[in-house]
Amino acid sequence: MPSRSYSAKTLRCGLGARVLSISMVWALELIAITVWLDTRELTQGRFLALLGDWGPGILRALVTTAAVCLALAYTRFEKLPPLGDAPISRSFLTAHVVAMSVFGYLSYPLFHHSHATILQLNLAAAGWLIAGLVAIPLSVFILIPPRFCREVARDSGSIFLLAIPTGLAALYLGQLGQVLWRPSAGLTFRIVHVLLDTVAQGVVADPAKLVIGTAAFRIAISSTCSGLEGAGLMLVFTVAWICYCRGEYRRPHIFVLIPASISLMWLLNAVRIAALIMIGNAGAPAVALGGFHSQAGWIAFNASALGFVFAASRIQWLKAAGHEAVPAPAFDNLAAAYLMPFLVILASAMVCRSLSGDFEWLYPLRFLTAGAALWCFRDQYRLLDWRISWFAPLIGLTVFLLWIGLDFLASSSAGSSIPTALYAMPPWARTFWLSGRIGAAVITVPIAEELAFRGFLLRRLVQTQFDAVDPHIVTWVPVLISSLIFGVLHGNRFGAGAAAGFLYAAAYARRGRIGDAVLAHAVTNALLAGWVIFSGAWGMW
Amino acid sequence: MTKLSVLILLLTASAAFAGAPPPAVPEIDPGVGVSAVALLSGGLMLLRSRRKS
Repeated sequence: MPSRSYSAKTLRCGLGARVLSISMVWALELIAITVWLDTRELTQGRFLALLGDWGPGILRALVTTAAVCLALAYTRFEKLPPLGDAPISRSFLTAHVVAMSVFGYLSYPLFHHSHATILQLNLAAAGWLIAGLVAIPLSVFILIPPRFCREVARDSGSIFLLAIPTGLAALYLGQLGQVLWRPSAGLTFRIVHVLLDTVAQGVVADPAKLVIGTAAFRIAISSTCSGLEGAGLMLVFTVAWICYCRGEYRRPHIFVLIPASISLMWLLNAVRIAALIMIGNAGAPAVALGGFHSQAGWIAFNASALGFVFAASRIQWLKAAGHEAVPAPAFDNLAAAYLMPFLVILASAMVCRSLSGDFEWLYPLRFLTAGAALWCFRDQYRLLDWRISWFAPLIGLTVFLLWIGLDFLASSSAGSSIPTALYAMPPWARTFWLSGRIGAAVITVPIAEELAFRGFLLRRLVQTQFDAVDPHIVTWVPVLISSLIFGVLHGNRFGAGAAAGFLYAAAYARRGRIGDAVLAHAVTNALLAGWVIFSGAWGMW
Repeated sequence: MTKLSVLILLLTASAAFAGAPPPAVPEIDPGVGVSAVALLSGGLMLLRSRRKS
């Protein structure tokens, strides 16, 4: 993996990539906020009640209007002068982080029990709303300069005025679309019935109540499991992808893949429900209604979405002139060496969780699959700098103390089913599970995550040819973004995860050695494993 | 015509988002969305970088 020096003072990417990056930041922030607050009730008060009742609708109307604005102004954007090397704006990034921090800080009293008066809460709600709304344009200006936005607004003229009623109409049409939920559930019910009839005997079905299953295990197909949700998500994804890569595909030929992907997603949802019934019928209702139910929908969506992109890249008939179809074999590129072990861990985690109830008894499989992925790319890893320095264990220890401290302050460790499940296992199985869990934490996860986040993402945020970026001179903006994404992946330990990502990036950038980042991460995880086992804090796993 | 098709599809996609009610037991569980979106993003990066290599 050759490296050459590169100075990162500008950001070389076009408008499409910048809009996509902003969308990704929004999506990550939205997911973090949703995971944190969505299950909690907004404290009630006059202004707060208004927000609670109308807020979600107004938010959907805003997002819809923005999407319609982009669609209507699409032709104008192509005529604008290129953004060229406009750099990432540090001042707007700082302002956005401040606005989001205020938003997060004020969220706490609004969504948690508070002794504040109604007046104080209403003032906090007003500040919360202003901070949230201000954060949106600030995030845009990080990558798209205000001067460019003014040009777009001026050139687009009355399009934006037209977009507002169109966006509201789309909102109304979307609500009308809810009448489709019941017939959709009926169609899915019939497909599931056909699937079950081919693989099981004694199928019990009640079309009036949409209840289906066997004598031992049956379920009701609710509206939200009808397949419409996945189909809508697939529609959004495929259209967004075609817009993003519009120059590469022949139109209208590429549109053929949209109904094909949606149909595949619908069929996979029916397969998901049939499989869920079969798992429950086989005597594992906790697995069927637990891990499998929550994971299988995403597995189906990822399979359909990646299948769509793969097919679009492989079929020459869909490619525009000058864009050749990608030949097999796959994954022979440098990015795969950095990303594949981490993606294998994510994929195997989804599969393992989908086959588990409360306790993830297949966890050692994550260790084995990640080890296999690392083994496949061993020749490329030999070219990396695996030397280590004295400060790496020090950073690992610092992250461990930080992790424990923040966990203590935030009381983020929930109860765990691990000790009960381990106690019920025979000794050999307990030893095997713990060995796999510790092996993953100390060996495969540090290597895979450091390759993905520090080796790839940190440098990929600087430029497309990431291997040419010298980690010594990476600026703090990519460090911050990659650390925030690393934090988001740690769920309710977002703060500790982001801080850990920042410190591991510092370990990597200090001497430009991936070995330092891996060692620091491994030390943290080894200390955490010891802490969990010897203190009984199983909720931290 | 092509641009109109893209526009209609985007409008429909927006409508699909706009009308989505909060599900109690969803087909797409937001609680596990972060890992799934990370996996999808990584997969897309791999496919795109393969095309460019």
